[in-house]
Amino acid sequence: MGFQDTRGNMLPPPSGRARGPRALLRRHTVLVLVLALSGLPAAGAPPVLVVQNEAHLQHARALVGAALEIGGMSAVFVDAPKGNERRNLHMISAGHTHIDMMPATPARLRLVRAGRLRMIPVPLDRGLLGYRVNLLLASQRDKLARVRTASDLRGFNMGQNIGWMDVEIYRHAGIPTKEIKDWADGEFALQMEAGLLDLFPLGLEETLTHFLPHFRKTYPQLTVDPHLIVRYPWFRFVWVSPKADADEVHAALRRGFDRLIASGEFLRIWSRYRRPPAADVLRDRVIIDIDNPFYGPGLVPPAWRHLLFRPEVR
Amino acid sequence: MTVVADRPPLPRRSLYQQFVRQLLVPLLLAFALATTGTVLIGYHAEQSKGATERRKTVDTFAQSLVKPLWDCDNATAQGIVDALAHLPAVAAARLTERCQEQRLASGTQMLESGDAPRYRTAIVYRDERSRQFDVGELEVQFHPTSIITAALEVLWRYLVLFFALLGVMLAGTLIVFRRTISEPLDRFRAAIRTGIEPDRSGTSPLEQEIRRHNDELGDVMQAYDELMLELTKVIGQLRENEQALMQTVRRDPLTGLGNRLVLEEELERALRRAQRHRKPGCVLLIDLNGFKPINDTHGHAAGDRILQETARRLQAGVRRSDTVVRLGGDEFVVIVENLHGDNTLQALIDKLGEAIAQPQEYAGHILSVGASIGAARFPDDGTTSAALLVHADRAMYARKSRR
Repeated sequence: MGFQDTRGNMLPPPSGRARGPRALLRRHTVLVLVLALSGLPAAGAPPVLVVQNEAHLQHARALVGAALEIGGMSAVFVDAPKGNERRNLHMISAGHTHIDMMPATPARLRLVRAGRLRMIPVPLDRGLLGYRVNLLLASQRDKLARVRTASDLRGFNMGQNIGWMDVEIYRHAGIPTKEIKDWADGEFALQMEAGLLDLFPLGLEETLTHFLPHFRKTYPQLTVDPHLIVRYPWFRFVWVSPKADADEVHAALRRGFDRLIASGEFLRIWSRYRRPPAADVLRDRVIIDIDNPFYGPGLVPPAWRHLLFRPEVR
Repeated sequence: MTVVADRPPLPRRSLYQQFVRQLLVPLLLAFALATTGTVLIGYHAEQSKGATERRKTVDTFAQSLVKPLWDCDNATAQGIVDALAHLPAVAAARLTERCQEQRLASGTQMLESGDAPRYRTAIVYRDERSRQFDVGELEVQFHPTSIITAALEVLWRYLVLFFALLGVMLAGTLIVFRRTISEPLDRFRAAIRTGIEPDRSGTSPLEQEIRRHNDELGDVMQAYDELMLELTKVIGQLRENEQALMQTVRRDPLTGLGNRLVLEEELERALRRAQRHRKPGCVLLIDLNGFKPINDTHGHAAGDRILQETARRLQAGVRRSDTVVRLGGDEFVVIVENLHGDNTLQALIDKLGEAIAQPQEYAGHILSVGASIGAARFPDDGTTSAALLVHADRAMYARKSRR
C-alpha cells in the first residue's frame, strides 16, 4: 500500500529515514534557494548569504557586514527565519543559515568541538551581556545595600526562566535559583510579594531601556536594585555554518574582524549602534564577578579581549 | 359419474389475510435488496467519510506539530504524537523530525504492508517571508474500516424505518381494503340476504348497492343480480311444473277425483284431527257391482261414463269437507269426518248406495250399477290408514258376499 499526503497525492514509500531525492530537496529548500539566488556559477554576481537579523542585533549585523567586506567578500544578506535557539542552532549547523550572532552556549561549544559549527569569538556585545542587574520590589529596594560578594547573595532567592543558561551560572555560584514559567510581563512580582523570590536578574542594558518600563505597566511595585551588578563571562559571538559553501565566508570574516579590530573600526561601528552603560548607573553599584561554569573570559582570543567593556579600568 | 376426493376443508382465510401474505414475500424481497444496497452504499460512504476524516485528522495534527518542530521541542511533539496514537481510529503514529533527526513513535508497531490505511504528510514551516522549511514528516496508520461495522451502523436504522413503513403500510392497506372491498362485500352480502325483490322505492337493496359501485365489484354484483333474476324465473317455472305434475300424479284423470296418494294423505290427516278433536269418522270402501258387464257389453267409453257419473254422485252425496277418491278400477273410497252415531253412518251408506244405483242413460241405453260398501270407523276400527282400509275392505267383501 502506498502513502498519501494530506491532499490525497501519492508519496513514495518510506525507506527508514527519508533520503529520497524529494526528501533531500525538501530538506535543503533554503539551501537550494540560496544557491539558485546566489548563482555561484555565474561570475561577478555577489553571493547571497542567509544571516540572522533581529532588531537588537543591528550592531552585530553591521559589524559582520563590515568584516566581510573588509575581509574581501561582498555578499547580499537574506534574513534567516526567526526561531528559538535550538532552531537557530539546527539551521546553522545544517547549513540553512550561513551566519548568526548568538551568545556562546554549552550546546554551541559542543557543536564547535564536534566540527558541526564554526565560531568566530569576537565579543559583539563587548561582554555587556554578562552584566546583570536585579529587579525587586520597590518596598525592598535597598535589601542588597550590604551585599559585597557572591557569598552575600546566597541568602537571597533568585528567579530565572526555565532553561536559561543563567540558572546554572547562579547555582554554580551557590545562589539559590528557582526556575519559573512566566516572566515576560513581570509576573514574578507576585512571587516576590509571596516571599518565594527576592530577585529577578536580567541584562543591564535591556532592563533599564526596556524591561523595567514594560513590567511597571502591570506591576508598578517593581524597581531596579541600585546597589549591585552581577557579572559573569557571557559573550555574543559570530557563528558560521560548517558547510563547505561557507568556507569562504568564514575565512573572510576571520580576516575582516582581525582588520576591523586592529584598525579600531570595530569600536567605531559599535559606537554607532550601542553605548556603554552610563556612568551614573555604574557609579554607585558594586560589581560582583561570578564564574560561568561553561566558559571563561579566555574564550575570547587575547588579541580581541580588549574589546570587553571594563568600567573599572576606565 | 364424478368422483370427488375427500380433502380436508381449507382453513378459512380472509381476503385481507391472503392479500397481506402474498404481499409479504415481495416486501421482504424488496427489503432485503434495499438493505443490501444500503449496506454497500453505507460501506462505501463510510469509507469515503473515513478517508476524509483521516486526512483531516492527519492535517490537524500535522498543523499542531509545526510550531513544536520549528522550536525543536521534541517533548511537546512526542506529546502530540501520543495524543494522536490514542485516538480510537489510529493504530500507530510516527514522526520523523529534522531538527535532531529523531523518530518519535507511539501506538502499535507500524505495519509496512496490509489493508490498514496509512497516511504520510510532510510538515512544513512557513516563515514570515513565506519561505517553506521541511521540519518533519508524520506517518499515521489507521485501523481498517470493517464492512460489518459499517453495516451495523446503517442496519438498525434501516430496520426501524422498515418496520415503521411496514406498520403504516399494513394499517393503510387494512383501511383501504376494508373500505374498498370488505365493507362493499358485506353490504352486498346483506343485500343478497335481504333479497332481490324491490322495496317501496322500486329497486332492490342489491340494485341500490350496484348503483353505488361503478367498479369491478359492481359488475360482479350486476352479473349476480341478473343471474338471480334468471334463476328466480326458472325456479318459478319449475314450481309451476311441479304443481302441475303433483296435480297429475295425485288426480285420477278420468273422474277428477284424488287417487291413492290423496287417500293416504287425507286419511292420515283425518285420523290426526279425529284424535286431536276426539271426533270420530269413518272410511267407506265402495266397489261397484255390475260394472264389468257394462264395460264388456257397451265398451270402455260406457264404463268410463259410469265411473265419471258415479264419482259425481259420490261427491254430491257427501259434504264438501269430506273426501272422495278413486282407488282404481271400479273402487272408490270416501272419508267422512265428524260422524256421530251408527245410524248416521248407515244412513250415509244407504244414501250413497241409492245414489250410485240410480240408472244412467248412455247412447240410448239405460244403464245401472250397484255398490257394495264396507265401512271402518276411526278410531274404533283402527288408528292407521292401512288398518282402516283393511277393515273396510273386509266389511265391503262381507257385504258383497251377502248379496
